[in-house]
Amino acid sequence: MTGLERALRMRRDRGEVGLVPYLTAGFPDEPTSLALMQACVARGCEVIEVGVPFSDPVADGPVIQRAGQRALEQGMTLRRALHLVREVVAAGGRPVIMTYLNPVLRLGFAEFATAARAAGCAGVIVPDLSHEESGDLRRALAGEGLPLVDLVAPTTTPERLGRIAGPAAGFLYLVAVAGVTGTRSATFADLAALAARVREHTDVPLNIGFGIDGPDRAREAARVADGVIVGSALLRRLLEAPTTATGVEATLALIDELLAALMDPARRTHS
Amino acid sequence: MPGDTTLTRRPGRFGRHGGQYVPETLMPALAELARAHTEALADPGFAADLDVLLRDFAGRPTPLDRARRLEAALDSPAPIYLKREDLLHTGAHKLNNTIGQVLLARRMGKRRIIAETGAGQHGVATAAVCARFGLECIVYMGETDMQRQRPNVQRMHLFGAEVRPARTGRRTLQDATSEAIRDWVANVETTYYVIGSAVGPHPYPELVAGFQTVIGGEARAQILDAEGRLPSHAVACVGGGSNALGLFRGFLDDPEVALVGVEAGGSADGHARTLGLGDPGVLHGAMSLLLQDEDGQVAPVHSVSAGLDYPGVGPQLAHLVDTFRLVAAAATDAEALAAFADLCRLEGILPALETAHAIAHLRALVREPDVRLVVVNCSGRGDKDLDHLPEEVTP
Repeated sequence: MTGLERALRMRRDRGEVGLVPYLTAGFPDEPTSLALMQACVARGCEVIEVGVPFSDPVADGPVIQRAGQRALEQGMTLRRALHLVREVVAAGGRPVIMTYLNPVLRLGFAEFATAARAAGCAGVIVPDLSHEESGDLRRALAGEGLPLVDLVAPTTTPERLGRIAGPAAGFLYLVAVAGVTGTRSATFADLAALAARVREHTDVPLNIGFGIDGPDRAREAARVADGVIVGSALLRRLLEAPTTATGVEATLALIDELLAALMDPARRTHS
Repeated sequence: MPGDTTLTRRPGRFGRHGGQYVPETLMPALAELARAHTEALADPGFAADLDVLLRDFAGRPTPLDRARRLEAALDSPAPIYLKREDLLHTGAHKLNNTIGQVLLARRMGKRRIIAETGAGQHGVATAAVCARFGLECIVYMGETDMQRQRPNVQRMHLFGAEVRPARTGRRTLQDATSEAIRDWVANVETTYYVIGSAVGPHPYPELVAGFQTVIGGEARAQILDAEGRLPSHAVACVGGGSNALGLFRGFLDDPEVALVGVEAGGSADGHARTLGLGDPGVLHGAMSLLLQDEDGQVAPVHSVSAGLDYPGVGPQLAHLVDTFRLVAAAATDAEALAAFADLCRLEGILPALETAHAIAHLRALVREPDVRLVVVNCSGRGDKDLDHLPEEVTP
């Protein structure tokens, strides 16, 4: 079992639900993105998703697209993101890299796995890498003791679910809505049904993402999952703020609201 | 490496290229599409419906037309024949594919159709077939392309389609394709995505090329009829590659026929020579050749023609280059514009700027040894380009 999975299982055993922030590396600029990640760790977020920007992010909605475009304009790359990963580890967090496949392919799977391991990366998520095509990268990462985190979606058939969830490592990423990031909210019924279907196949920790737009949705997701991933809602605060400083303030305020929602004892009241 | 063998044997692979690189949300839909496609191909009723539409609605077969004045102007030792896809309804080869795919969508019970378009020809072809069947049609088009291909935007509107501008990136085909994929992810259960070129995740490259193979099938029979022999060269322009594959697949099993794909050589502003200069990469669902920077970001490309202005290329064409079956050539913006004017003046044929790239390459090709008989895919007509021609082309 990887360190990531062990940590998430321990958190679950303590009855806690983790908040997993997704932040785009290099947005609004490199030092600010790192400072935000460090501030999240200081507030008690253990896993941080370090988003590597890509020119054609087909799984992402307008907010993460815009954040990524700004980060690319300022020269963010997969290699630079690994530098942020190292700093997040130094701050005590467990950074998970979220990247589209092509930058990894360009670097080379073996070289990427070695560099990710050396930086202290805890796991890797590649939203455009289907389970069917994932063998080579999964093996390269496993060789360095790193999990490739799989995603399952509301459209995933029972047969696929068994194939994907059975051997899952690290955690499973539950895509809450059929859609791209940050564009619509999942209903509680959708979340509960998806989580229940997945639990039939695996007991690895489940983190829910896509469409978690604030404390109310986070509270609902926490009733059925072990962790809640929030990305677009955080980045939207940065995008809409008049200055970087007010953007950081607004983003951290949302982090605090989300953490408070997840600590709410009422959330464990199962319907 | 044992992993490589498994990859090559999986359906949807062309050597190292192809595959299915999409978000998990779409994977079940691709499986459903592959199943429906296989079933349709085995159903004689589907082939019969397709044939009737290709004949009565689209106007097939298209002629194979000898370009004698062009031959003379190029001082060509070889006869040059044009496969006149420009005469197809809606003005380009694109309709062959959209008829096939919309028939497939109907079989699958999908009533909402989406498409991406670059030059607008695929958008127009999709909109026309949707009008024919009373289906909702939404076409994503880069904002830059909407400006440079305005007549096609008007035609889509007239056919009842909604045209949604893609405003990210360079606002061209690449961005329109990403937007269409996002729409599909969000509406996958009700929506059929009609991809316009032989690109994207399996089964699209095979599906699109399959519907376009009618071009090469007809051309092969027609050239044998006209000349009693196979061509020494088959030539087509290459953006994503559907008109090229459509022609080439008629001659794949004829090793004596050289296949020549002509890409956009562009200008000082850049190019779109994916087959010639790209490296292996993943974009829009498939492994193929890709123009990219050293960090794996997709590179900005440029072409005067919106239809060739794309950093990727279909996986089967990439494989044909890998295996030396296909020769990748290029024509610059200026050469394409000159060929555009030549074909108008010499043959009374107004080609699309995309097509003009294939015509432009003939000037160099006919000087090569062993060029004995040439078939060029005249893939589309150029009315759409008239608004944006440089002054030197329009006297």
